[in-house]
Amino acid sequence: MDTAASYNDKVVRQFSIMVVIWGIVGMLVGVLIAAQLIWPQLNFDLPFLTYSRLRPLHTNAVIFAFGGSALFATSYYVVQRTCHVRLAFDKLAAFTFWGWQLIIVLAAVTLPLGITQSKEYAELEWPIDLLITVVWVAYAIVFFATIAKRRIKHIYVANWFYGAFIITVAVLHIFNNLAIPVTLTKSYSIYTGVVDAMMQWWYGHNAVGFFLTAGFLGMMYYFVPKQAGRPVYSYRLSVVHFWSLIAVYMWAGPHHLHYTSLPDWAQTLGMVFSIILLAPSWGGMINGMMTLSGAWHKLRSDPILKFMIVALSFYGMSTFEGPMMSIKTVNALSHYTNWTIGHVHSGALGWVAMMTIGSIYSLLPRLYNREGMYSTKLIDVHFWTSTIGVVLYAVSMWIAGVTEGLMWRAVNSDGTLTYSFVESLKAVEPYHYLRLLGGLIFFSGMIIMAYNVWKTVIAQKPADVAVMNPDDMSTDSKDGGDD
Amino acid sequence: MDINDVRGILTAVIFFAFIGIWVWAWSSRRKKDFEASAALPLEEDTYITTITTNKRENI
Amino acid sequence: MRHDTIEKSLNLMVVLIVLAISIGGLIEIVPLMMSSDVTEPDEGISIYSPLRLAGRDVYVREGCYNCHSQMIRPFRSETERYGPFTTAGETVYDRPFQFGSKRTGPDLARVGGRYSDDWQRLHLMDPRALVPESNMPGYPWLADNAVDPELVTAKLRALRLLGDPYTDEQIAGAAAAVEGRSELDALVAYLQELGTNRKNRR
Repeated sequence: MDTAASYNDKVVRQFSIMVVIWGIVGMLVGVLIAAQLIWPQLNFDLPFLTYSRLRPLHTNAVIFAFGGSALFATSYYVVQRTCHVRLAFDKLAAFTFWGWQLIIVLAAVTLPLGITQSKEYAELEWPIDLLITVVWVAYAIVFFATIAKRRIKHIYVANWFYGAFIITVAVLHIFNNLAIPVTLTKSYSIYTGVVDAMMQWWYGHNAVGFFLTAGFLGMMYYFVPKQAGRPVYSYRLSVVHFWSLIAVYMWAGPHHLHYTSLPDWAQTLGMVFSIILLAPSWGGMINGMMTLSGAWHKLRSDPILKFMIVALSFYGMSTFEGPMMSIKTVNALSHYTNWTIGHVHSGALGWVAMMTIGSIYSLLPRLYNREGMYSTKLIDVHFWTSTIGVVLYAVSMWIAGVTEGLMWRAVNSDGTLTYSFVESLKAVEPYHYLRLLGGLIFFSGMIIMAYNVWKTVIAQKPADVAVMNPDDMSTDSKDGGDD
Repeated sequence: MDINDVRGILTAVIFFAFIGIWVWAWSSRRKKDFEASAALPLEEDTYITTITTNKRENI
Repeated sequence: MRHDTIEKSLNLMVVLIVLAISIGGLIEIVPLMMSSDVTEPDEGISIYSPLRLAGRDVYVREGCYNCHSQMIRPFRSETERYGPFTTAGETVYDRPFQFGSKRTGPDLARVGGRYSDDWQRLHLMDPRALVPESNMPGYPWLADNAVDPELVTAKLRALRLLGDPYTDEQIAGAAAAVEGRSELDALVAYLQELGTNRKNRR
């Protein structure tokens, strides 16, 4: 068969399956470290099972293995469908899959061994950083070459978000990781102290902004209209909020360094732009929500849409909470506490994971030429475990964070501190249990998903999909398939 | 020209760029393109391999 | 030709994206790099001795920053608990910085000298022997691991390459300075000097 006549869905299928596997691995490590905070015996006095080495493994696995595989899978799918061409360079696309999996395996080996740069979400040492750079450049070539040979005039907005995510992550990764190697497993950053901190949080914040936001908005802009059977509510709004979002996000990094020895002018810039960021963030949320309006009745029967609407709700809530936490007086209370952990997880579980899960449930049957997943009922069960899990998690961490913040600053009338540090640790212990429970419930949903995915993919041989002929393109379907 | 001039100019440039994006996005010339693009996710795939019937199993 | 304009619009999009994402970083980072406030050491702040450097790298390797900050903020409740707030000039030899982002345990920026060496050693081996409520993991393997003298020498060379003012004598003597010391010795040496070098201590 002429391969140019069909889409390259093999690489999409590969990444989609790995989304589920890495999701389970990453969240399992999360559950383990949550338990270690309650029962430190679970560290077993073994270096590679120790909390402080496993926490970076958890964050990297969830962001780059689970989230990253989801972004590769959906961007490769979306760019082909919206450009009406097969993905450019089959072999290079296959290289990005195997290269990315190799990076994940290397991370899973080196981080528990204590091989780390200690910069959050950029812990991996220089040889792996070089490999990431090579794979990322290959990704950019495949993605942009596909757009370059497209047979449709306009570039669909989801591809703008994916494109900005690919370019920006490359820039962030390279500049933050500049270092001088000592050995294969040890290097020193070329930046020091406050400059290093500024570089790191310029990277760290925009890893959230581009990896976990822009990329996932790209996913949202394809799969929400697809699943709702309606075109995006306002294409114009998507254009305006795209440019505002990518321009404003890059300024907001210093809010991770409020009241540190970073100069005040930088902290103020970070705070102001973080507050402005609310507008373009909500532009995306409103656009997604409004796309679903008019399809509300579908929510009753379609749990995939429920995943998407709850993901958008958490996106709206987290992007309100974020600017609020970047106000210096609020940050004075929230910084260093579990509030930040709650905020991160309402974004990572509520927005990123739920949008990913919804999109994968929407995508997989199409990749295997089925009408739907093996079981809609199990998707619904998964939806409820996810929702209950993330709410328990976020609420327990908010209460814990505020408790810690208030106890740390409490002073007696004579000016002495009211509480010792360890008293604040004891005070939040009940919330550690609640958080573990929330995490376990969310994790159990991933197991249900794995079963559902397994039953879906073994039942059916994958089918090739014909590349759409530009002449067949329907221009009058803007009212969508809203029944 | 000192740093504050640069800041002022930059602020103005960014402001006008922002206005420019709104004007561009809302211009009537874009409307048709945007509508065609917005319809893209709604297209359905055509499978090449023989389609076997596989009704969703309800459990 | 139509294909031509299509190519152009992709290129235009890429260029505009690069422009949009560059401004923020350039304006916040470049002036910072050129500012002596954050690149010059405070009085009394000097490069890490070989043993402390080895200890610092153990601190980094074990991921202590996951639970301990090294950044005291200028609030009375913090200076009361941890000591004078941290200044930029205290951190100019920190590669990478260790400000941290979460306090599951207390800040360590000025922990030096707060406890005895013996307390620190025992606490690192078995935290709950000294603080029953603690949820910190133990790090018993540190006592059995020796610091590698050759590696420390290589580290000093790399740091000098980056501009840290290590002298030839310091580099030549580095191996001898850590010979026969355990990683636990090194980490305790690092912790015990944390925050103690600033001139105006209270």
